[in-house]
Amino acid sequence: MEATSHASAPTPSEPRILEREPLVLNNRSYSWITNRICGIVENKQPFLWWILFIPSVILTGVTVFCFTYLISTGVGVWGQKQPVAWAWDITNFVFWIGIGHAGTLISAILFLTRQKWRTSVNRAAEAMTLFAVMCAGLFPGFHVGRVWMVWFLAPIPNANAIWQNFKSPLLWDVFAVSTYFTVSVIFWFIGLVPDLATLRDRCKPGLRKMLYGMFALGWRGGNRHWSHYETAYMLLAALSTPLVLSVHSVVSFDFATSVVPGWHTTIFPPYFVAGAIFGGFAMVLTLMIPARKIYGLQDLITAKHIDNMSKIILLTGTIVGYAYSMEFFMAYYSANKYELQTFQLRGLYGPSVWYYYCMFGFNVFAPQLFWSRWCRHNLWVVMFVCMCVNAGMWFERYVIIVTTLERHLTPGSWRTFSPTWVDIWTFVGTFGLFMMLFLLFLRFLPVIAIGEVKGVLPQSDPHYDPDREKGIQEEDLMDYPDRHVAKPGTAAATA
Amino acid sequence: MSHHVTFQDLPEGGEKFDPARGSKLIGGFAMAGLIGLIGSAFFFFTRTDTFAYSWLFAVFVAFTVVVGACFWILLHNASNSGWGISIRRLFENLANMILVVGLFALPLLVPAVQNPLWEWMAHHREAAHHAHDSGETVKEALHHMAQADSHLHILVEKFGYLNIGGWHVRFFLYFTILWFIASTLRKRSVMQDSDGNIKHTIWSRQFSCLLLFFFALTATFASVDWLMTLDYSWFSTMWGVYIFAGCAWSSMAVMILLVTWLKSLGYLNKVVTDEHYHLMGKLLFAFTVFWAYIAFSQYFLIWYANITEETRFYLTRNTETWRWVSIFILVGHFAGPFVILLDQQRKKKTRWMVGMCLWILFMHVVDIYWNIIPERGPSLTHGEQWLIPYAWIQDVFALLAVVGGVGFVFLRGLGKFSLYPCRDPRLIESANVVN
Repeated sequence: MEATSHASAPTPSEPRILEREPLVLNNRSYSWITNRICGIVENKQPFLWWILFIPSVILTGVTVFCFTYLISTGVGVWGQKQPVAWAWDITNFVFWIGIGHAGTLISAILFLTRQKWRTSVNRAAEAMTLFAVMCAGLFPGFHVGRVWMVWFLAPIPNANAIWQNFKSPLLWDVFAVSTYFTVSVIFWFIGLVPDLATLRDRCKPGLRKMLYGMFALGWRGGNRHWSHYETAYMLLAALSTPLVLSVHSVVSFDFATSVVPGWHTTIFPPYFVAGAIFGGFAMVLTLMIPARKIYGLQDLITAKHIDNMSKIILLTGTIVGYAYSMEFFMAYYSANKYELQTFQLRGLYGPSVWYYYCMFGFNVFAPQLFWSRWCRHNLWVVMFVCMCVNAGMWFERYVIIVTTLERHLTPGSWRTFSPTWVDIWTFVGTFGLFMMLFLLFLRFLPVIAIGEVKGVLPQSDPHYDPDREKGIQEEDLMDYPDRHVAKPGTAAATA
Repeated sequence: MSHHVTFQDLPEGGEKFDPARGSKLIGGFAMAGLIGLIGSAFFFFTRTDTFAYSWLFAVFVAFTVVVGACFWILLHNASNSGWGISIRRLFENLANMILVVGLFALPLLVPAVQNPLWEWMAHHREAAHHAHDSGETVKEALHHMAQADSHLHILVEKFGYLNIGGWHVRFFLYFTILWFIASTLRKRSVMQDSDGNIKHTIWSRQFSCLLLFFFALTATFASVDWLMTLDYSWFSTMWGVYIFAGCAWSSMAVMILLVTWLKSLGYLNKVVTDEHYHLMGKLLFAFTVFWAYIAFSQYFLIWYANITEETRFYLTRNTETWRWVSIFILVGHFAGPFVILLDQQRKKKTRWMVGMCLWILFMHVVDIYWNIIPERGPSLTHGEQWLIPYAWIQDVFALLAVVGGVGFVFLRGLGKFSLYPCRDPRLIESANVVN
């Protein structure tokens, strides 16, 4: 084989390899990882936990009260009236379902693509997914009016011999969301098994030990256990991946299969999925940045993790911006005056035009801050952008649903929507429910997948070669002002 | 894993391709290109109206593969990936074929080719003619024409975007942007071959992140301008994504074939392993599904809503013999590759992958054919076929000319630089990748 040199060989002292940033900082040992994560569950919760938990419980109560009031009075307590038959309820449904996407994306897709950094955040993201889907399910459930008849949605023979409308995307939604929830629960639980066993083994005898033991399914950490576990995890990851895409695609079908201008557009499925991942990651960061600080997990959820998630937010935010722009462009290009007018009313001179500006500003412009490394590494900026995205994704659903219906095809029935106090407090209350469930999760289950994090340590690699050629860290090469990885030789707190 | 590859195991300066060793394939491409060009020249002058479609089809096939290569290098750099360093230079070389594709695309600028292809251009030219006589603007003239023929009214509405001047400016812009991306990234990569400076890697990553945005716009609007406007009344917001999915898919298939061919000649053996095949196979699988997801969503939403302006695209393709092509695409473009690529072991077996990639390229050609050619005639073999006798022969000659030509230039130029970025700071990571 011919080999031609382009230049002289580098001197041996010159680094030739760009090292990957470590995923666990300060050379933490296996035992340190176990102690730190299990300690969250085993020790008393910090005072801040109670500060957050009590209002969350109260807010949950508010939601329960609002739904009770709705059941006893009727759906009319919400603000929707024709032609705005879908308003905050469906907006909230799509908002929460969207947030419920990041968990499975991190767990399944990042697992299949061998993104090792997922290990520090996947557990919490999966838990968050489940709680978000629970919040989401409430809204369409109660929107049907007579909630005690919601079981009619299930394709089983019922007393009135009524068959479901299988041609309706609303019914597909029921199937898609319930399948997604079921598989996500199983996936989450399977991942928890080894860690539940760890907790079981550390517990004193008693109720706790019994419960952890029961759910640990007799896990002993043998080779056969791990082998079966990894096969099951891989299969569930493969099964979950199409579900991530299908759920929000089906949600988008609720709108896109119609002939309503502003709803019927072919880009909706991938646009909704990108938006869901976008909103989901923002919520993961919103929860995990305070959690890592409160529980001292900075060595496990590092600046690199936050940096990566910020980049995903930037990417998906820009994809969402592309979809907004394509919708606008095609509304013009199609030369369909109804389509064009819908977008003009949304974005230029409609009654709810500021919603559109909030949507665009929060979702497309705010994440552009993440082009800057400084912004990605400044937690206040990251939290600010995530808050923008959390709000922006709600505005997006509001723009799609409400502003479209407010100015439907018959100008005679145009009406501007305004929410009632029940609308507002039902939605605010679901944040309480979401937070309450998440805080309980922090209290009782390991927030980080202990077994998986240990698996990404360099010493866990069976091919790890301590004599391999050493390279250089990007931080050293580029001389970034804010360092996260200790300089060689200076490092190193140990367990 | 057998042996951990280090820099000491690799030849200094990388491996350089000797075109003499690949002369059979290069000669084959040259021959195909020559035959294609002769046939194309004949049809270009004798049957310009129908041949215009053939040429657009052939150029677009090559364009999609090159655009896909551009996407892969951008993605690889932007996502800070390590596994594909061993094959990145090949993608860089393929992406740099954009200028050659641009050269082949030049006939699309000839009005005699444009008028039968893009009906709206013919109307615009007619309007320009009227405008010249009456002293009004082209848009005003179009407006007057629309009073006699109401179908033309939407051309007045779309005039801001769909006008001949704008189309030509964009035509050059697309090639310029893609060429800028491809040439800049390869330049940096080659510079690193000689100076070994790791900062090129960081710079390329930042550049790629930024340029991905322009790439997305280029791929989208090129597919709008060249394909969607074949029927100026049809539209779909998904269109750009749909075409892009095919670009990434076909380009990865070309890469697997190319790597296999080079390995059979004795190159890349230390830096490309079964693991790379597995990874490339997984990406091929991912894009098989992604394409199907996008294609299905577009079809399904248009079918369900059943709005006349939109359904016309699928109505044409669901009638006469095109219907069978549609079903064939469903099976061959999605179902077949999906089932075969699902298996992990198969993705690591060269024979399976070569067969699969050849099939995928064939299906990609069928897909592009199915998107363009029904606008020329409503049927493959029946109906008005007598108007365009044996038009498919023209398509074959055009495809031979463009693919043969681009393939020949690409393979001939492969020896200019090392086949892989020999001093990339992640080359060793790539060579030892375990998946």
